[in-house]
Amino acid sequence: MGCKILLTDDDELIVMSVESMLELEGYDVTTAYNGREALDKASKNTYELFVLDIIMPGMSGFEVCKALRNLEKYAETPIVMLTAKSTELDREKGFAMGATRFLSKPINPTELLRVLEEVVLSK
Amino acid sequence: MISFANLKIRTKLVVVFFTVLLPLLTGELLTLWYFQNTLQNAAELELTNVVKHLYRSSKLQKNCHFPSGSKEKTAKNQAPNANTVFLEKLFLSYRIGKTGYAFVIDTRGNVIIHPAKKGQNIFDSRDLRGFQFIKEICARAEKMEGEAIGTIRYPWVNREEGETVPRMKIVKFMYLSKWDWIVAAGAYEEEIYAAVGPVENYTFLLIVLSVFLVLFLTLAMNRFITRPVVMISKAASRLANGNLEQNVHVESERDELAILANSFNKMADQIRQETENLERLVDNRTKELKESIEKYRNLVESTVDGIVTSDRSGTITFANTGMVKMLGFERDFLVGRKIWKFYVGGIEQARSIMRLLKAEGNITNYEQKLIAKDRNIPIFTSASLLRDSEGKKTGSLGIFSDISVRKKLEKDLQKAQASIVQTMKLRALGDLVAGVAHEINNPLMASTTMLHIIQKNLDGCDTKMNARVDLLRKCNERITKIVNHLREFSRQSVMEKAPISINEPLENALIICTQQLLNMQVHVEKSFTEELPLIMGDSNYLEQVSLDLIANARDALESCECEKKLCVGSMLSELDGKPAVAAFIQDSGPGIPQNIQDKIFEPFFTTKGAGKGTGLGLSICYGIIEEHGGRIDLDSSPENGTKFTIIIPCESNRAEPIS
Repeated sequence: MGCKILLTDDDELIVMSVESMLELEGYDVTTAYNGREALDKASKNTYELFVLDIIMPGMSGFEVCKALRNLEKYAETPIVMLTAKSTELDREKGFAMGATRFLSKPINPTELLRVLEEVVLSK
Repeated sequence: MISFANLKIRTKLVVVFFTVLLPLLTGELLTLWYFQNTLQNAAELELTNVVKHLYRSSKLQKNCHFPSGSKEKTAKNQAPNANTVFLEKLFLSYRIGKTGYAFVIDTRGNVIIHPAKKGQNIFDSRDLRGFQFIKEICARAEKMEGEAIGTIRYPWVNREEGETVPRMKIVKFMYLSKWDWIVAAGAYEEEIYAAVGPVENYTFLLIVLSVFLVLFLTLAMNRFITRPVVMISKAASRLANGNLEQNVHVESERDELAILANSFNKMADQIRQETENLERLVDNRTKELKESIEKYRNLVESTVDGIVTSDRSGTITFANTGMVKMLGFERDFLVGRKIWKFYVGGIEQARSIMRLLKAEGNITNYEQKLIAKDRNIPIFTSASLLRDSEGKKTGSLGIFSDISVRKKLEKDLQKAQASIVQTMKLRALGDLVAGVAHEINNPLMASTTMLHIIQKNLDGCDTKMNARVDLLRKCNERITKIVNHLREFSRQSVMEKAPISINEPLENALIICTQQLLNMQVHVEKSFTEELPLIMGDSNYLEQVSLDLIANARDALESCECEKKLCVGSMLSELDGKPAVAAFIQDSGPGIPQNIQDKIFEPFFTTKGAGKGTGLGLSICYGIIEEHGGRIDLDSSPENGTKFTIIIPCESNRAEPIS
């Protein structure tokens, strides 16, 4: 597909494994290890899909999400949030910040792929 | 002998009267008699002197010749001479009294000198008694010697003189032997005692007067002293006997008796008043005492606790209403029986209580059980020794408080505390587990992802490699499951509560399991209460709990040899005093051993083999129910099987069931 994804997570295991899988599926994956880096790259480039971890040092995924939405070019871009914690409150907050989807870790790889496909297709 | 002091006053007075009177009278009479005597003697003396004088005169005379009537003295019969005449004249000159005279006769009765009967012989003269007094005179005169004087008295009346009334005559005589003369003088007593008469009268008058005087004195004393004294004495006596209305009235005003009477009246008054006061006081005190007794009796009788006293041998002497009600025996049944008959611990219990009492003096909050009519009651006992005023032990007092409710509350509290402790443990553990799960999440996800990639890149024909990778995948799956369990355990998942009936998730779970249970020949018994109030619950989670519990029951029944029965139901209940609903799942299995019953809700505790569950099931159930504000209770024994009861409080806004 060549869809450009920005994958942001502070855990390199996640980043590396998910990047490998997505690349295998044909996605064009860029990685970032924290919110600052993500926004930096996001502003410099253009991505079609964001996969964000919530709990990160420095800026949280929520803040990144909000910032992205503030950028005009990313107003409609699908943002998928990943988190180990998923309480009602977090979900609400996420959607309030502008997230498109919410997934709880550990995420089944097939599940992840399906959701991404869904989100990309519905764009 | 009656002593004078013991006589009554009046009697005393009478005695005094006579004591004074009699000697007085006696004295007066004696005086009178003496006086009379003296007068008589004086009068007689006159007579005697006359006789004596005449005798002496006669004796001095010489040559007297007196013609006598007797013929024998013829030699001397001569004419009277001058001496003789003188003597005769002398004799006749004497007048004693009015008619008394002197005379001479001889011893033969011949009258020698006499104013009237000279020359006669009166020897045979008789007085008015018929007595020959002259003869007597003569006889006595002859024997007289010297100047002896004889006296004779006789009654006489001088008819010749015209006397009609007989009177006593007194004659005194002497004997002049030389001439054989009886010289005599005589007179009527009356005449010589003339002086005596008035004296006698006067004396009699005096006596009478003095009697009257003494009488008068006595009466006066009686009136002015004895009577008031007796009055006071009687009044005092009546007072002493209890008649308090005494008032003595005496006539005098200022004397000692009046003072006595007044003092008596005052005292009687005071006594009466004091007595009235005292009576009033006693009445008041009695009333107060009665009220006090009543009050204390009420206290003792109205208290719910049992109050019992027993004597030294342990026999019940008193039991209050509280005790009667508590034990359910009649008061008559209790009093008289030994108190340890009602102790579950029997006489040994009583002995140990007594030992404590002796050591400490009293005991409080001593726990024991009493035997009531229909059950045994847990009791707090307070007891103390009863002592008399000398400090000797007379028995003991026991107060028994029914602590059944308290015990139940204690049990409930223990349960609640255990529940809280459990919850806190689980919460702490939950936090730990959440942390661990969180840490595991990422590597797990990475691992699963890499495996996905590896599997994709594998050649479908390399079955060995495929199998190996597949095994890895299974490992990851199990890890994932465990992590999910852990997250559930630590309630990382979201609970969505809504007003539901507890029957709903339970029945749903039962539906899922029914077939399996029937296959196992388990008899399922349902007893759901239809119109239960709603609870705020997450139906899915509650269903999960129900499934877990039914699964456990199924496992228990699977391996047991007994009758296989599963009872599931619901009813109204209460939790911490608030309305709640209860659901129970009971199996007829072998039950859970006593020693692990408090461990089953602990996480990772399992009685099943490796791979057959993580042991998180019940702890997760516990947590879920706790999230609902409820509690899971366990009741398990080899006879009755295992029963889990879930109690969840009702939705707070509505306590009534939906109709």
